[in-house]
Amino acid sequence: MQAKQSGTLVSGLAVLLAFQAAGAMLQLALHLQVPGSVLGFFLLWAALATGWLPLAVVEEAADLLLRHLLLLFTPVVVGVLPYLPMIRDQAWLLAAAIIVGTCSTALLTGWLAQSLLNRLDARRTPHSEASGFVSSGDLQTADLQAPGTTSGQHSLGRKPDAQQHTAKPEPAESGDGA
Amino acid sequence: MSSPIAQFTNNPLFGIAITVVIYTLAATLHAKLRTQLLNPLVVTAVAVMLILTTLQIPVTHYRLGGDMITFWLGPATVALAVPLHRQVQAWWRYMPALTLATLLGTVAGLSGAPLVALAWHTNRNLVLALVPRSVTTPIAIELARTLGAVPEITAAFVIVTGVLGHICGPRLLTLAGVHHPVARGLAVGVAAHGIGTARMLTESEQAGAASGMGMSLAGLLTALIIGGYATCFLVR
Repeated sequence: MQAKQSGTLVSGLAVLLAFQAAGAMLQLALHLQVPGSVLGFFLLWAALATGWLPLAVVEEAADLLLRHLLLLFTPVVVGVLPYLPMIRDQAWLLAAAIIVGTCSTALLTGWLAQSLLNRLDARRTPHSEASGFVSSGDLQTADLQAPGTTSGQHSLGRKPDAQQHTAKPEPAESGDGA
Repeated sequence: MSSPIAQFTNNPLFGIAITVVIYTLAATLHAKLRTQLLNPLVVTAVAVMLILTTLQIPVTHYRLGGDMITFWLGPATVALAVPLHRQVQAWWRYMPALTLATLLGTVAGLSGAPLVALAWHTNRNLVLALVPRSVTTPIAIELARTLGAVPEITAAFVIVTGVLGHICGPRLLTLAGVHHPVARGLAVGVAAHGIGTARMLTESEQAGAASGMGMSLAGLLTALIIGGYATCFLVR
């Protein structure tokens, strides 16, 4: 993986830490029960989805941390050691409870998600695909066409407002909507 | 004053070195043998626990370095937004369905284990500690405090849940006929939070991203449900 033009490992880590800090401040300010890192996750997702932050800035650092996520969890697992005697008395019962709870959650979520996803895919037609996001898609199409239609004028007399139009970054999915 | 071993271990270097070295060995072994029985997380944790127990090294010494590794779980949680962003453009139309599946799975997770424990007349403290067990550790610890449970016991249950989902989750879903990568990832993320997500990231980026989203959605929904319950029914 080559160092990218707009992002390095350190700048990526800085961005991740900054978003975590922003999430922590949000948690404190709003007295939320959700930890700062989870709020930071949603903030970073929003920043990437809106195009405010280019993916290349965080990509390398994020991929590094996620590739070694198991390593990061190891000390947490070791931290259970002091509590083993406390749990041992009812270990089998607790194991049964946790197995039932975990398996039922995984199976219910998995089955439900798969059947809903398959149903949505089966219903997929050109007509229904456009529904829901048709307005934003049309807007983007119009927006993209604007510089094209004015291209004649563009070559004759440079229109500053037309240039602003083209400079505005648009989400990549505009092609899907059209 | 203290023994040479204690002098060496009472230093962040010990915890970091032992974890990273054993993890690297375990990951190499795992890559060569390709069996989930030698899961690197479980192998490393058990090996470190055995070393600490047999050499009688206090866990507080290990945590000096261990906590420095754990710290990076925070930025790693934020980093889950990257695979999610890469995948999610294809998912917008599925979001209501995925949220519904997450909600029902979360409710099953919140009620399932405590109900089993209650049926056996378990100690009330343990039942309460079981409730927030399927969400990521920081959320679970906060919620355990909200419920009046012992946070450390909840943390232990969170880890056991995560390791269980990490090892058995994908196989269980395959047996149950769940093959859609997004459904598989979501299910393991909702049931087994970040430790499950770490496994799904090795299955495919799509499954890993779905797992990260399942974990975050489940964390948020669980916090909303327990926080709402506590606000309405528990007098502080």
